[in-house]
Amino acid sequence: MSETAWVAVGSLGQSDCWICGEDILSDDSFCRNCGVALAHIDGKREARQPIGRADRRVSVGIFLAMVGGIVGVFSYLLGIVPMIAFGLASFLIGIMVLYLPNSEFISGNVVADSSLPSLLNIENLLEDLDLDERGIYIPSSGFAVSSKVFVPLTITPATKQPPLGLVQSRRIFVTVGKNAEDRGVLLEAPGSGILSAIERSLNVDLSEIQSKDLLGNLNSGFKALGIAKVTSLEYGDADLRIQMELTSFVNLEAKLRNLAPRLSTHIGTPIVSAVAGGISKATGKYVTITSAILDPSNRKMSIVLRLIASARKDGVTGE
Amino acid sequence: MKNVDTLIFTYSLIVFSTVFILSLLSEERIDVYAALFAVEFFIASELTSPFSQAENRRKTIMEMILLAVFIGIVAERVLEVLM
Repeated sequence: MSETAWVAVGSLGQSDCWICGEDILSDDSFCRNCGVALAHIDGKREARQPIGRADRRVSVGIFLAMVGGIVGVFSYLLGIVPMIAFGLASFLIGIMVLYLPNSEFISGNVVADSSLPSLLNIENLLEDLDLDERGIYIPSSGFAVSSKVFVPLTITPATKQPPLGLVQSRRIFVTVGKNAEDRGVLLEAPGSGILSAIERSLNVDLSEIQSKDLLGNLNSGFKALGIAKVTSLEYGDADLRIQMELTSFVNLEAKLRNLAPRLSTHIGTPIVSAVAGGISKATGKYVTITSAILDPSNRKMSIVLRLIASARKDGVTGE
Repeated sequence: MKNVDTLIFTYSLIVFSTVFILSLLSEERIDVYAALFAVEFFIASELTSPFSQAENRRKTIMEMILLAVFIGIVAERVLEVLM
């Protein structure tokens, strides 16, 4: 029987079959009456959590505002100023609890599951085209302008520094020079969405900030999105070392390293890609990823980026 | 803890400490308490920043209201001195 019924497991470990209404024990896999396969919805508890949390928040807000109001009014009538202040403080906090939004964070697993297929498509594309060169992040400018990464077929003088105009190109297969081997694939950076979100949350165009402010801006941006803390950023001769402490997406980062090794090493996982795109934008230099080592147990990530020369500002030579 | 929760927690801590300290000092002017509550919101929000865009929008409205309250209290005091 291919039909499947959902069963909600109650606090007593028993509920009803949604097909025939027969009582179901929590460990039953099939309905004892109609024989339908049962799918337990343990995840339902998790799905309900935000609503429950929102309800609790509203209750706390109303409670504080009401207590504050009542204490304030009675204290005013009795003429006890510190108690009026106490009531006012409670009322204010209650209003804040009710009015200030609590950002709805989607579970990291849901984000990972929804973005994984598209990232695997890039991995397959890289594998099919047998692209072994590292992706080159093209410096972009402009508020929340998404960053692009160019993966050359082979490294030639032309593909080493692809033209800046490629940022506006919507093509995938591009030729950046006069020779046939000056070709490559132009992709939206996997972390371009994160990078744009960082810029929007900080209301800052990263291409206009000073190098000394880079650590602060990246750290604030990643923290505002609840993704990570950027703990250090050190400039080397031609490279840049960044240490991060992830607060979410650890599973996605770890999973991608196993499922999409080419994407992880050549282009970067979404967080690494966002960092590379941000550095490229802020420094105005081409950036490639040298290494991005993840320590899942400590939730730490160490990224080494290579900065390539200053960007030249000639036109697009996309196909 | 999310940023807004941290802000509310920090603000509560500061505000109730203020009430406690000022009541120990036998402060009897409610406008002093109110003005401090307004200033303390700015301190708490700076301490707990950054916020996401949606959080920032509402926080700014809250800040503007509290700033108006603070300006009102200060203006009243200044007028009192001048008159």
